[in-house]
Amino acid sequence: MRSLDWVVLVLFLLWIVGYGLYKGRTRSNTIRGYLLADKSMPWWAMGLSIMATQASAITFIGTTGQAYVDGMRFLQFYFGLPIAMVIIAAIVVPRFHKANVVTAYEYLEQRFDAKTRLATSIIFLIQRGLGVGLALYAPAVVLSLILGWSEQVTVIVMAAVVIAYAVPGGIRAVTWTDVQQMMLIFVGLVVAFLTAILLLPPDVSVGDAFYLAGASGRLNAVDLSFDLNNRYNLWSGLFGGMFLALAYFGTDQSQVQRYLQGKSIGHSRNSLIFNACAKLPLQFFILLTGTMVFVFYQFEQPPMLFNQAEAVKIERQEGTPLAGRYELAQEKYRQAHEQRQQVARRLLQDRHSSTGSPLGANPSSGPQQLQAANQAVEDARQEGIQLLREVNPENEYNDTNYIFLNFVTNYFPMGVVGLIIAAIFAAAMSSISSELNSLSTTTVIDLYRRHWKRQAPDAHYVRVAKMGTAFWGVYAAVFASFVGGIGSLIEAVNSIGSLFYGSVLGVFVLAFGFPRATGNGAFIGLIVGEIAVIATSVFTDVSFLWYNVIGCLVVVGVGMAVSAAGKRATGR
Amino acid sequence: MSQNLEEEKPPFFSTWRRLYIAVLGYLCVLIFLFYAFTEAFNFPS
Repeated sequence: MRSLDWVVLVLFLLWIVGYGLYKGRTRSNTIRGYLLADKSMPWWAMGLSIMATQASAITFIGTTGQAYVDGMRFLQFYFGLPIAMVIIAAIVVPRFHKANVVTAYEYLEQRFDAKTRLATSIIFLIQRGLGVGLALYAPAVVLSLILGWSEQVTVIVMAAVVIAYAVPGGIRAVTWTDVQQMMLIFVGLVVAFLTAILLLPPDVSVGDAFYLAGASGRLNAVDLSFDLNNRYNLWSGLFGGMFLALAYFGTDQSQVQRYLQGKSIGHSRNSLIFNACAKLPLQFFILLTGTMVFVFYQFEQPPMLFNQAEAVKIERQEGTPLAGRYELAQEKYRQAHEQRQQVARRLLQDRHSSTGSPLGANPSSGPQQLQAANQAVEDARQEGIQLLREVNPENEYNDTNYIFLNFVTNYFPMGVVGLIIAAIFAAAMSSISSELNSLSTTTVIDLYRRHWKRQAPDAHYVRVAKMGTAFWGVYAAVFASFVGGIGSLIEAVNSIGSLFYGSVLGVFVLAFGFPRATGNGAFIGLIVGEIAVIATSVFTDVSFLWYNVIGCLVVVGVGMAVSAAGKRATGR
Repeated sequence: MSQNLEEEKPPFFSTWRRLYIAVLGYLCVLIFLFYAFTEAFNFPS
């Protein structure tokens, strides 16, 4: 980072804290004001806040890296989201509004009983507690790489900035800063994409870039094949993704609280429809940026190990046989890259010289040669990674999250680096602040006010909610300090979520769709559903997107069976 | 604090049902476009 980058980043952080404090100031000291902004938010602010909450730093650095490694097939993960938004807007939003609840779990007590509310709120606290730690860890990876700070120091700085506006300002500060942060994320994405295009060699057009990305199998946005073990295809995205989105947006307090701030059912619905329309194009654009990074590295040699901190560990072994083998691996990697570059250039020459055929003069062999050259580069890279494992056998090396950052910091001009880093910070802080806000809300409303202190002035609950936000911020910082090395962060977050989401969704499906379901049925169904999901994850290779479907169906099936048996036993 | 629980009209289309159908139609169009994009740059491996 150079001086101008620092100026951009520091100004952004100061602006966000100042703006959050300004928008969060209020004369009202009620708990509904602190947690729901007195239901006064316009739909577009809620819509941007919903998007900003979901778009974490992981979205920026993990998704672009995933597109580089694996292509665009991750896009299918979001195919079920618009369907889920429609279902939630039509069914869930009116019920939550009419029940006048602060949390989603509060609704479950109105519909079922206190134990079901308690169980689901505790599941949320565990699951979101893990999630917020990961959401804090991701930007720590960014800063520790760029600034030379330790990950712990970076985590503490990040958490302190978020706590500085989220604690005093409550949800007003969180939502209005989310709006600003989402705007910056949009700007950062466009700038990153355009810069990646501009950095391509002068003789490589945008069409050429798409052609090479396609020839390398990176523009694989839709896969029609049906395979339960295939993580990303049209069907897992539509069905598994829909269930995940239903659970996340319909039952996870970090999202429910965003649209409960609406002044009416219509405003809340509009915010969800806005997300339904904007999410897929946004994800497409992020993934496309990752593929352009991949094309850029066809002509510029990428580092063999994107995580430079790990690469240094081998380079320090100077004079040892391992260092010698590493140098050989690097040379092999360099040659493989050179060869790939030649193949890519030859392919483009063929494309330019051909007339009529968009696939080039020899459509079948050219792309195959490029794919073989890509594989040779990857094989050489794996040799380097294998050597790293010999140095540090306990570390499961995965540098997916370092690819985009490496590209930005090494090739982007001064000032633009600061802007992109600020956008990554914005993405991180918008998620973390909403998550801290919702964790505190559930702690206060579903646990403290429900089970410890039922009658107290609003000012007391506001004070406890502020303490709760600060507590969860500190907890997240401690958790994030020990979370390193979980592989690709984006998949880790989604995998953890999927262990719980399906079962909780099943309870809400029982609540909304089955009038005969009882509290005991929902509670026992929740326990059995959770066991079923964990057993599926441990004993089968079924992709995690299907856990939501399995969990939900088991809860509904068991819940209805128990409810029916209970009613027969009592003669009703 | 007054809360409007009336079913107000959506910003586009005259009913919520029509808006929902439009969103699902939009999803179908997007998936088709993404599929066309995939096929346009799909090469035999």
